[in-house]
Amino acid sequence: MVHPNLKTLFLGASCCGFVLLQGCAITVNPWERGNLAKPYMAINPAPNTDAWRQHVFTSKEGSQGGYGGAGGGCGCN
Amino acid sequence: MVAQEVVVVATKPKNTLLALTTAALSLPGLTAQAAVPADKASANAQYGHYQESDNRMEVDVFHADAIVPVGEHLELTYSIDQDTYGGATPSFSGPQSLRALWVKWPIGLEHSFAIPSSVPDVISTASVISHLWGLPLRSFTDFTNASNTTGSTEGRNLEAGYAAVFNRTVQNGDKINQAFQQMPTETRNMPVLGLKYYLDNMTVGLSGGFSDEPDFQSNFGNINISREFNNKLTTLTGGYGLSSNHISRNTDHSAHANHEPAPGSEYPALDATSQFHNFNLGLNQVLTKNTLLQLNGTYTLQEGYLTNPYKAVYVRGEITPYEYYQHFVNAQPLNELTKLEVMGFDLFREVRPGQRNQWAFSSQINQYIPKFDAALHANYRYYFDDWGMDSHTFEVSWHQPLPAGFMVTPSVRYYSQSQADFFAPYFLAPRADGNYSSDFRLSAYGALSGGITVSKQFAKGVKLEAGFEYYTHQGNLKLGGGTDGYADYNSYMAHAGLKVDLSAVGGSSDGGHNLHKHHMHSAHPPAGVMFGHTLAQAGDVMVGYRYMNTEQGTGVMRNGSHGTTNRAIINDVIRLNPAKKLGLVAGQPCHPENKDSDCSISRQTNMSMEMHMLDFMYAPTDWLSLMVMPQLVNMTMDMTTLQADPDHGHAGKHVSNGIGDTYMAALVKVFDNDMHHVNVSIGMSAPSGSIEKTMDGVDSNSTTLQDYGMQLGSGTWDFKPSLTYTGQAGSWIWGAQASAVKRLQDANKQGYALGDVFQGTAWGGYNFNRWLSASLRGVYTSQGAIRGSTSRSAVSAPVDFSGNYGGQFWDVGFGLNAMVPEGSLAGHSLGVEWLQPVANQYNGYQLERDGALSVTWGYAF
Repeated sequence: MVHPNLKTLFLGASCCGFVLLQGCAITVNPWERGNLAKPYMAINPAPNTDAWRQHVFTSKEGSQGGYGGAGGGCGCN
Repeated sequence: MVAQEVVVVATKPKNTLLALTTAALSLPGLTAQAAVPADKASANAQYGHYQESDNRMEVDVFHADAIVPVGEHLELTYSIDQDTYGGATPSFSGPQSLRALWVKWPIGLEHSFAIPSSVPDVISTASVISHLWGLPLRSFTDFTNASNTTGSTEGRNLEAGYAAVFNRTVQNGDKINQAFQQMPTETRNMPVLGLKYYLDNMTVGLSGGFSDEPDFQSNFGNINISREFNNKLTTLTGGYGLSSNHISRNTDHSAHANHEPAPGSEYPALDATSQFHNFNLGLNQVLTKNTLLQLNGTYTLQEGYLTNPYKAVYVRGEITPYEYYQHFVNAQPLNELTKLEVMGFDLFREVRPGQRNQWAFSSQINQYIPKFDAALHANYRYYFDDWGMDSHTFEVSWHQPLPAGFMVTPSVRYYSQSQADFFAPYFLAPRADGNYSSDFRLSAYGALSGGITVSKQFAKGVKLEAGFEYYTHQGNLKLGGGTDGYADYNSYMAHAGLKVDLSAVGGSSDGGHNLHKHHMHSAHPPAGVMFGHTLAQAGDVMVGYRYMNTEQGTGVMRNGSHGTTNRAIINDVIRLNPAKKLGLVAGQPCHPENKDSDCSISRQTNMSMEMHMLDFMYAPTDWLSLMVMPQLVNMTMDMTTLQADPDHGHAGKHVSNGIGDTYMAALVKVFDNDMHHVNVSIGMSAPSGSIEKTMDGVDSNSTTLQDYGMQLGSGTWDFKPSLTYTGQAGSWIWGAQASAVKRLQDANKQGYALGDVFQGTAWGGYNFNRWLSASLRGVYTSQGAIRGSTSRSAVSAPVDFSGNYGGQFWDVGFGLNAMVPEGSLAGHSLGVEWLQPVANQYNGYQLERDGALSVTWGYAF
């Protein structure tokens, strides 16, 4: 189990680095960001709905986390 | 989308896209931690319902939050979550062939297996074999009986009998059976307070709160910092969170009711703690003008008691039938027989490692599709931990705007996980590390779910949303194929939410005078009066919250209009339930002649009811206002024993929480001039509140119900008409209302109907200035006794008899109303009223009324 995980970690890190480098080269001018500004283009357009779904998933599945942010515990695990 | 003025170095924006540009730079979604605070407050309320197949676990979740900007840089957030959950949940699993020998887990009782409190926590020689906990074999004689089939009960033949039993239960690849236990209904509350501070390119967020349920308390705090780079095309976020948890376990006794332990003394069976440290790192990157990428990584270290206190494992130990025989018949100590720790057929509580290192990485792409004006969101998450588990989660959603403010979002999610190292449906040999779990959540399986959410944005910053998602958990849905599906189940979740965003109301901060003019000449009635005011003109919307708290806390019992004695109460209970017998010696446990009869008698000493109502009103025309009021009800009652029965007894604290009945009303203006206003309200109450709250908190069709007054709803459709008159001259205001509740059904599902109600009230008040008024009110209420009765009553206390409800009541109300006529908070109103009982004529025996508090907040626009 350990080796594939490390590999994934490495891939993830490389990916991050790549994107960061790309980031410097990307130019999307402010007046070109109209589509990005639409509310449903938000990373999390419905935070409450998302919190409710994640609450159910984390209490019924073995995995937790990964989507950023942090909350409190419950006895539901 | 609102264009907000933002301090941004834009490169010579020279066209009309300026509005979009500024919006783009300030949008909250672009970076999870947006660059600017909202310029007005917003609030959310949401209800979610989760239900598993086969009448398993059921959860109701209520959520409310508010985000309030303070100054230019600061934003405060407050949220509260209340979950109420209960139902059957898997407790352990075992080989099916063993099942035939088990006494307490017979076929047909899959849903009501309770793990005895005597099941040991630790798997060790000392705790094993010396007794069989009544489980899973009937007793040692099972072996003897088995050996009888071999013709002799002595010596080697007996051993042969053991061997026969063992061999029947050893088979590898045997079908797995799952046992369930009923969990009592419990409620979790979680308030969270947060703040966000916005600097030029940086946002700092802090939050903290606690989560409280009877067997789990958690305190937590989080810090998050995000910084924007690269002309706001890139945002980096880092955060840390700490949770500190206390875990206990309900015992057989305390699980026996909605009897919560006294504050500070939680369930005594377990006293453990755990700490979670959570680190996260995130990157948001604009890739093109239509594409957004987010990468996230979290690491969580969990330490302490990570075991589930309600799960058991079946472990078959490494001991031969002969050794078993030696132990029982010749009383040979176990440690002389084997070096292994575990042996026998038995149940143990599960054990998990005291540490867990969890890693999770997710990536999300949001792609705007110009052709449909839609957005596609795709997310993948990889998770692994040092318990040997890993998982893959794929999620895709399509966000499609439609005309008239509608948005439809279908979504699909697939999840697949491997099993934890120490998971097995049952264990045929002990594990060297001592860790065991048969919790299906640590097994290998896959899950597929699909859902749809529909939302509608109203013009005035109000958004309604409803969604449904169906979920299937199956062993063979695992990536690469899985195995048997002994733990398969399905579930669904449904939710509905309301969002009010004052930023989106548009211009009310400076143009609100006309809009709120009606508040100036049509003062709100006192806070305790419902359905008393209408909206001024077509298109108006009001969102409000109403809180009512009724207390009966003096502990004094009344009969009619007089005081009474405990002896009179005992006599009356015996009169109403002749099966009860009078105790032989006062102050001593009673001794019913028939041992099976129950002579315990108790009475209520304190009752408290809180109602949280959400008030949503809309005026389709000038003369009509439509109103919907869902509500949340929390009730507690303390009981004291008047006559004790050592075998029965019934005292302590009862609680019931959950969604109550839902009111709907059409309010019609029948007369309206400068001085006089008359409206008629035609209302209905839908029976959305439960009338099957049980004593033991278990949702079943046979156990004893809590009393009528502790049920969350009436169980019937009720007609609620009212006629309201209000008047105003100079600084003086006055009004009167007649209202009634008429039950439209003779009996609810439990065979009774609450009494009808008539209420008449009149008030006068004075406006001290433009925003504050005081009122004095008289109220007369007449409520009938309950008709019919439920067969599932405890019939041992005054509250268990339908004749002890209702009466005639006279109250005086003292109220204050404040409303904001102008400025940035224009349109808000706040009311408080205390109702003081002055005279009462109770039906039968009831607890003295203490008074009632009503608080209302409303915002009209």
